[in-house]
Order: sequence, then structure tokens, then C-alpha cells
Amino acid sequence: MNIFSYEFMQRAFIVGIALAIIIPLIGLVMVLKKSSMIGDTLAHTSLAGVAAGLLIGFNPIVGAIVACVIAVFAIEAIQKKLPKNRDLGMAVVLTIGISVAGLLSAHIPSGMNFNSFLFGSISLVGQNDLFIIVSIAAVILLVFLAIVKDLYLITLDERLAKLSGVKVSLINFIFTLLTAITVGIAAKTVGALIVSSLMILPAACAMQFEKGFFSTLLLSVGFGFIYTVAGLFVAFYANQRAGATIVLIGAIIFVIVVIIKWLINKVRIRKLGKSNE
Amino acid sequence: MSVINIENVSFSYETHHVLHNVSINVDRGEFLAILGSNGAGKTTLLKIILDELKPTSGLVRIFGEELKKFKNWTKISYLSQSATAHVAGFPTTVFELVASNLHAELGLIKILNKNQKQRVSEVLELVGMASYKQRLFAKLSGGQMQKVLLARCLINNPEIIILDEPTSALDEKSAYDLFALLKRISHEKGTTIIASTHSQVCSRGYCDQVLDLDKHHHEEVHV
Repeated sequence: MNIFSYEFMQRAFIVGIALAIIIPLIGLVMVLKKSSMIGDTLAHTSLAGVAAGLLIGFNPIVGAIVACVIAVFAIEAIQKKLPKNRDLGMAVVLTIGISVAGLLSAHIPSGMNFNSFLFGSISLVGQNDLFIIVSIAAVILLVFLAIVKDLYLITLDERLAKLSGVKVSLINFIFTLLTAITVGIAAKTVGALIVSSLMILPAACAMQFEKGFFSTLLLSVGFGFIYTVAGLFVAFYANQRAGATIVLIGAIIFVIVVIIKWLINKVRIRKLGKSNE
Repeated sequence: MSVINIENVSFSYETHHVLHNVSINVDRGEFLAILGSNGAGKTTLLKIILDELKPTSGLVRIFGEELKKFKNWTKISYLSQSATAHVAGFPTTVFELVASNLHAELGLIKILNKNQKQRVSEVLELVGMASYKQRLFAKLSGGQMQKVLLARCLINNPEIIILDEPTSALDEKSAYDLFALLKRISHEKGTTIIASTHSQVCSRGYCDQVLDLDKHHHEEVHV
């Protein structure tokens, strides 16, 4: 039967593509800011919000977003107190987040499938979730586009950014908030344990092409799109978990890109050697 | 009137004496080299001019104004020692990098207009890097990187350019090329340039004045 004749797969594709656009955008900036760990921290902390949502009875996606936003404030507060050990802030928040998630999840009734948030369940996305995720993704995309040139400058040279009149602290704060919300909305579909991989892999692939910043951003989105569409097809026909399949396909594509790049370089060097002889 | 006037400036890091009664005047369009070995106080003096460090004693005036009253920092461009290393791993083209210094004058949509794109091309032409516009910055040689970073400084038409050891990672020929370019810019555009360096040959071969921090004296060079 045609994959698109199932309503749940139609929803999965819409949500998957919305996330495939915003996650790599956030991911590339995170990689360039050398703060990849924040994705992992927020992803783990989002589980505490999911568990609270399932336990108390509100939408777990909202719970994940709230948990991530609280985590961002907590990380900032700890980093201000310990400026010389900025990593500690993330490590402490990650530990607290995962512990709270562990404690709360023990009390969730077994039918509420908390486990599906660990590795994602894009096929379980309901109409309500679809509306929440797509609307929030659209807002994130618009805000990101509004601040992308500021982000470029900050990531490139924070001092120059300040001299150019960029409100560095404000833009950094908005970006962290966007990261938190992105992780929050991706937790249910892609999976909390997998979302940070989907932030890093498209960026890693795109950077192999050695293009400028804005071209690399577009390439990241392109790779995110390919992973997601291919992942959803494979997951559907092979009856596998979508989130894990998407990320695994991403990892395979990354390895292929690296090997092709290595081969091209080898051929170039050989050609150069021959022309010099 | 001097563009930069340094009067009896001294500086100490706690008990370590770095600068002692340094005085010099730099006029419009002049190229000053600050010469000295490691630890002689070259970067310290540049940081004092940029108001990042306060002198223990003495005065610095920029365009006749004392540093504490001086506000017009957009007239000054600074190229730090670590600028190349900082940008080297970043996925950015030469064009993007130079255009990034126009950020302050971009509108809400932050898209370059025709005139601004033209300015990027012109400064790249000036430093001899026009044909590298779409190249990845990380793929350039050390000398080419410095020229691109210089173009980034020049795009805002600064009246003063301050460079901290711009030749430290360059071979001899690239260092001479860069100093020759700086001299041309200072004379053709009337930009005042201050560059710290280890190189006697570069400083005495291309600069109008040399401030030797090892020998605690300054000399005018006529080349």
C-alpha cells in the first residue's frame, strides 16, 4: 500500500520536514560556536518535562519545552557563577534533568509509553501535535532568519560583533532559547536521545563541502531533509523506529561523504603530482 | 594636528615594568612600526591606545582628545594577533568575511545593496585579492589571509588601522609584501597605520617612523 495513503505517515512527513529544516540550522551554529554539548544537555533534560507532562496530565511536548527553557536559565546561572568552568553548568543540569526524569518516570502508568520519547515515535504524532510542532517550527524559522546575520558575526568574532553594534548577549540568549524550544518539540518525534545527533550530523556533512557560511547553512538543511525523507521511507517499509533510522541514515551518508571527499583529494593530489613531473 | 599623540606613557604589570616614558606623535597618513622583542610591550602599548589598558602614568590623545573622552571608535580598525587563527576553521568565503564588517550599516533585512557589494570588490582589489572573492578563507595562505583581514578593516574607511604583529605567521617575502601594501594604503588613502612587529627590515624598509621599545627610542625613517 502507498505510504502516503496512511494519515499518520502524512503527518509524520509534515512534522519530519518541518524539523528537518530547523534542527540543522540550529545545529550548524551550535557546532561553530563549539557548544554542541548544550544540545545533549537539553535533550536529556527535556525528558524530565515529558515525564512531568505524562504524570500530571498536560501535553508532554509543552512539558519538554518548559523543561528545556528552565534548563537554559539554569545553565546560564551556573556559568555566571563559574565562568572558568563553563562546561560544568551543562554537566550539572544534564545530571539533574536525567535524575528528575528517572524519578518521575517510575510513577508514570505503563500505558503512557514514556519510552517512546527516548527514541521518538514520529508515527504517533497526532493532529494536535502536528499543529503545535509546525506552528512553533515556523516561528523558530522566522526568528532564526531575522538574527542569522548577527549569529554569523557573533560566531565568527564576538568582539567585532560588539563593535558592529550587535547586541551579543541578547542574540546569544535568543539563540539558546530557540535551541531549547527546538529540542523540546523534537523530543517526541525524533527522540530525546537522538535529537542532538540530528543537530550535529547535517552540519558535519555540510562542512565537508567547504563552502561559505550561508551555503553551508543551506547544505545542512538539504542534508537534514534527505535524512528525514529517506529515514521515514526506510522506517515505514522495514518496520523500524523512525528517529533512530533517520539518524543512522545520516551517519551512513556522513561516512560516504567523507570517503568521497578523501578519494577526490587523493585523485587531485595524484593529478597534481603527474602535472609537476 | 597629530592623529595619535602618546606622551610619557609608562605601564607596569604589578611589579613588572613594561613601558617607561614612551612618547611619540603620529600624523595623518603616517605608517608607524612598533618594534621590539617578545615582552618588550608592543601589544601592551597597542592595548593602551585602544583603551583596553590604562597607563600607569602619561597621556594618550586620539584626534586631539584624551582617551577617556574619545568616543569615535568606528574611526579605528584593529587587527589582533589571533585574528587569523580565530577565523581559520570557520566556513566562510572571502566575500562574506569582508562584508561582515558592513554589518553596522545594514538595514533591518541585512542584505547588502549594490553599492556595498561594490565596496567589498574595491577593497579586495586594493589588497590584490579580488580574484579570491568566492574562495573559502580557510583555504588561503597566511599572507593571503592577512590581506583579506586587512580588506575587512579597510571596508569601513577607518582613519586609523592598528595591527598587532601582522607578519608573525608569514614568511619573509609575504611579510615584505604586506608591509609594502600597508605603506601604499597609508600614502594613497591617507590612513594612519600602526603595526607592531619583530622585523627590523620590514619596519625600517617601509615605515615612516619606528618606535623601538628595546632601545627605548624612536626614529623617523626616510625611504
